[in-house]
Amino acid sequence: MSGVFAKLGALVLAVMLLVGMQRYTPSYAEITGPIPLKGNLGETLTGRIFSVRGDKVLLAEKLRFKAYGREVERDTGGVFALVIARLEAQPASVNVGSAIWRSAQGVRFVASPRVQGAPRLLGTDRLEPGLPQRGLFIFEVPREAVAGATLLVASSRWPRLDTQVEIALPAKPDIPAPLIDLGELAYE
Amino acid sequence: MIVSWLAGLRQAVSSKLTIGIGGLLALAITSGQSLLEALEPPVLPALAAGAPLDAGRWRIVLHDARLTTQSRPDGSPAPDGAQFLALDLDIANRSSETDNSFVRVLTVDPPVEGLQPNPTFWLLRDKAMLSALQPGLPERVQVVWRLTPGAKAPERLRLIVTGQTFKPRDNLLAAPGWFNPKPVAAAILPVTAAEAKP
Repeated sequence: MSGVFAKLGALVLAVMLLVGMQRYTPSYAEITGPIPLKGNLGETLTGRIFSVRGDKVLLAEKLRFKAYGREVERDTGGVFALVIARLEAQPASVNVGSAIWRSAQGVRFVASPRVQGAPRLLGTDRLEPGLPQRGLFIFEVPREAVAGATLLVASSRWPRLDTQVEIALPAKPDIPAPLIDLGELAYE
Repeated sequence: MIVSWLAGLRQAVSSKLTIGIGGLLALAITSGQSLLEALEPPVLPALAAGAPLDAGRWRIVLHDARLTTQSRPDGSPAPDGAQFLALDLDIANRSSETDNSFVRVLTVDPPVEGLQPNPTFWLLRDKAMLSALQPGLPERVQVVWRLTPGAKAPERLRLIVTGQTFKPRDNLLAAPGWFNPKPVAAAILPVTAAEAKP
């Protein structure tokens, strides 16, 4: 009788073990995914190939800037979120091609292509070591995606086994400004 | 002697039976498949202009289709007097990531003669080309097809909307994504004639 129980117990144990392994084995995408480097605004975070410091978050309902010799004004159904940041290549020249605004719910907003040609956009030019760039990441997000977001900076949109800087952004942001003129923005 | 011969016979018969049953099963499956393929394709649900549709990754609302001489919204007429087919639609990204695969969401079927493939998507808010849609921010978009000069303008346009399904883990990398594009609805829109020149 006890032999039957022992066999049954072994079976149940084996099933539990297998289900657990199936559930909790990290997937290939997770194993070879980005290597997070977490920090806050104002901290300089140094990854494998670049360092970044987020300084300030600004919100605006409208943006105005000069692109290719023309005045451009952009409005949005949500809100424009601007992050003033400082980027530096280290130790070699690099393109930091990806900036993502990840909302508290986990939705990923890639930097807006609607502001192409705006002055001092980060992530468009190549970075050189020893020549830090100060500029802007501009995102277009719904209002409910603003609070408690994270800024993700990496060399590509889906970094594989490479640094992804994750900067925690303010949980309680300011009221959006009605209009921000990028030409008059104080970066320092 | 006889016993072993009988056993051998039994084995031979059973293996032949197994092979035969397997072959028959394979035959049945393939003929069933070809029968299913030969059947009429299922009728797609009709999508009316102005009605919202959830096509997996996108939520779209089709509006009016019209002929126009403008190659872009609020632009000047094209210099060679070419004609364009413009369609207004509302589109929202329902996924959790910025995306630009909206170009594959609409197909003209049956194809219209003289209508050039690969339409341009214009963001009406900016009057500029649409390069990506942010999740949760619906936009009014104009799709513009170019008509080959001299081609007869269509009176009606049948569009097929392609939907995709979300998989939390794909088969290759176990990463989440949108897969299996499939037609989910068909819309027949009347094409209104070109507006009179002001």
